[in-house]
Amino acid sequence: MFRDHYAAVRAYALRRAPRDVVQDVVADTFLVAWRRFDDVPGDALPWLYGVARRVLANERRSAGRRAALEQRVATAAAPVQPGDPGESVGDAELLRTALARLSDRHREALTLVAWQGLSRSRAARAAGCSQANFAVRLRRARARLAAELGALERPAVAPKRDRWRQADAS
Amino acid sequence: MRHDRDIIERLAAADPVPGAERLTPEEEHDADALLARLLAQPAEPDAPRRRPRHPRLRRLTLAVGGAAGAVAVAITAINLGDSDSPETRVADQAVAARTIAAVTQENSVYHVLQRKRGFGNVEGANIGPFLIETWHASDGRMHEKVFRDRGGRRGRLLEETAGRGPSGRRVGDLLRYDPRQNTLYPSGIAWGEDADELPVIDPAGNPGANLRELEARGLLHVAGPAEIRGRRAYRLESGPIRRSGDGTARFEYVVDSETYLPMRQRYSLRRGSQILGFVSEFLVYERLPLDARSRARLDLDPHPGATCAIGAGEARKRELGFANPCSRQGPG
Repeated sequence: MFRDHYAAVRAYALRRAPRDVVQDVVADTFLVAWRRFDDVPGDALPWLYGVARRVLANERRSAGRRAALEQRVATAAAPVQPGDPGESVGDAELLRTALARLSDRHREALTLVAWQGLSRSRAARAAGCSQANFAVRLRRARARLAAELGALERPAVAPKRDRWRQADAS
Repeated sequence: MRHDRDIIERLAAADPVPGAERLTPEEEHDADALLARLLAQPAEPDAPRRRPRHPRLRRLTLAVGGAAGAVAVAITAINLGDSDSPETRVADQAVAARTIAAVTQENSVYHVLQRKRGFGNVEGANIGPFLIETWHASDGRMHEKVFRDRGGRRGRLLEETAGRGPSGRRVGDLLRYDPRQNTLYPSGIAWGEDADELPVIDPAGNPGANLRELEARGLLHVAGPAEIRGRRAYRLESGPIRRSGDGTARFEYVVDSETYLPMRQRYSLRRGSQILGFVSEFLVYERLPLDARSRARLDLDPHPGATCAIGAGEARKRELGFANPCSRQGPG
């Protein structure tokens, strides 16, 4: 199980926490897996993600850590994509900013599917809810993310001073 | 244009750590280091699993759980790990240590019920099954009763032995009761000349001794997971062991994944085309605190009217651990 899922659990933590706590999160996750070994299902990965999520939540609850952690997640380095690098990086930043505005549940639902690549049923297990609940949660999360993106992508209204200048020019 | 793309696809493209599931050699090393660090914690014997109310105690419990976790992580790593890797060797040692600890607790009486049968292709090999019930104390006292297996239940008593067991697998100070003869005999158990090399779990003897020897010789390996009677278990194997003569012995030992107490053992000896061995299913393997009640289970059952064979009255109470019924007028 460790060899099978170490990289995936580490990647899960890496996408949500700064590097200096990632190893602790991974270690704690596998320790919990041992302590509840009889509860670990055959398809262990969603279960491990669920444990890692709770371990991360505990980390975030630690005094003085939350702000730094969320800040560092928010400013995580953007990937370099093929094609138009400028547009991709901009889009990635926009998406992550929009994502950061969502609730934890909505963010988790989206990232389990988009970043962890889980099917809806496995993602539901990782999120600790029924498949039907997860489907609703994911649909709402998508809508919410689209709304946040729309707000971010909407052209900014020109300042009044510029309008005055335009008026003067005319 | 970007609005047309599925938002999940866009989000996937915005993965802050793309390809994070692929480990670099350095990250592989980190994984090994984490595994080794977890495993480096000493294996603890079973601790009571009470939930502490105080947060500090809870953290301590987590730390103890960490030691246990190390073992689990080790075991689960076995399937894919290199059998000669340092982590796997550490895992073998950790599991072996925990297994030995489970069967050698001080101030304990172990109560064991096993179903045992012999197998093989030589005459007389396929015997049993028998049900063997044993109580064994850490001070060497033992009490063993052998029954016919009547569909998983104790059938007719075939033999009963009690006394101070032979830790070196030699004749000890024991009394044996033969119900067919209704007679008590002295020193009921004797072992073959190389029996001390036999790497079997003998609940009536010193079950940890052979395991310690195997572990010290690097012969006890975690072979993978198993499931017995719905419980998760781990399979330990000795690998082939050269025996006196031209024989090769193999020993398999399955332990409960939680308690590390034995669940099954299989021993086989191959000499040319001849095979001889036995399988024991441990239906009960429990540790009882050493107190007056558990100590009483170590005494030979009373057998009113039984005859005492010559020499049966020689063993004294301090040697047997209970009053020798043959040292008085008679067993009644």
